[in-house]
Amino acid sequence: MVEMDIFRALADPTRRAVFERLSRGEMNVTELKAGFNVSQPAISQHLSALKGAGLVSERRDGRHAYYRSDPRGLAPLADWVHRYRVAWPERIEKLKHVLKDMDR
Amino acid sequence: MKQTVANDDAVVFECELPEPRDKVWRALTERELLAAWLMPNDIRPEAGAKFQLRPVTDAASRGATECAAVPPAPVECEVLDADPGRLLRWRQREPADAVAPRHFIESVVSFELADSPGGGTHLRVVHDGFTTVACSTVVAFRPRAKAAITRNAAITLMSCSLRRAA
Repeated sequence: MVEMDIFRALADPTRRAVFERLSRGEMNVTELKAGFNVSQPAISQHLSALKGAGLVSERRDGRHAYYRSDPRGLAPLADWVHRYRVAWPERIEKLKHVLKDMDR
Repeated sequence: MKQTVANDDAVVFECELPEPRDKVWRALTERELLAAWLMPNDIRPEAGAKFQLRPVTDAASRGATECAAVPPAPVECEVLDADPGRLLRWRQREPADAVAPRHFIESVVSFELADSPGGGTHLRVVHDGFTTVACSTVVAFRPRAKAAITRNAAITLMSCSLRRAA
């Protein structure tokens, strides 16, 4: 597998839109494609990348496949932002002490 | 100290420090000094330099067994900008879940230094670009296996706009 440059991936508006659309409900590829001006293979490629990243899950029902966003892929983010919101003030206080003690 | 949320996924702190910028810069970029307020590290303040922040196990706040069994994973960092006395920015990656680290969190930390009246420093810390990265193999992050990395791609977002210094 080729490592995808994360910032290139993030800059892809279609992939982002696919993820957002699938967070509103389960869809098959045909339903999903209806909202986008791109080919079905392109949609499938985006789905594959999103699945690889753990962001979209697939459910098979006979010959049909249905997709939905897997919010667990994103859930940790909010926790982490909060964690750092708490941690930085403490660190900066320590930094102030370190600065005071320097070159003594 | 002021805490602002520039947007949903950015953490911003600003404060006035009495010390001049060059001294603050040293506290950000000299290993021992950085370790004294942040974490043990092997930082090199050059763009492109990779380094680790190594969380210290806090025995008081964790169970003794947990300490022995699961040392906290290092935070893998890469310096994006190092403009002495002005701007230090790095990207960091850490396991989102220490027990089953299939997901990683990437984010960008920036320290912006400016002169403040009276000879001190206005320090602005921006922590943003929070992004999840999913990897099919954890192996990639063990030093010994570094050469043989095949990483199943990654992505996603919340707000992906990386803040660029003007």
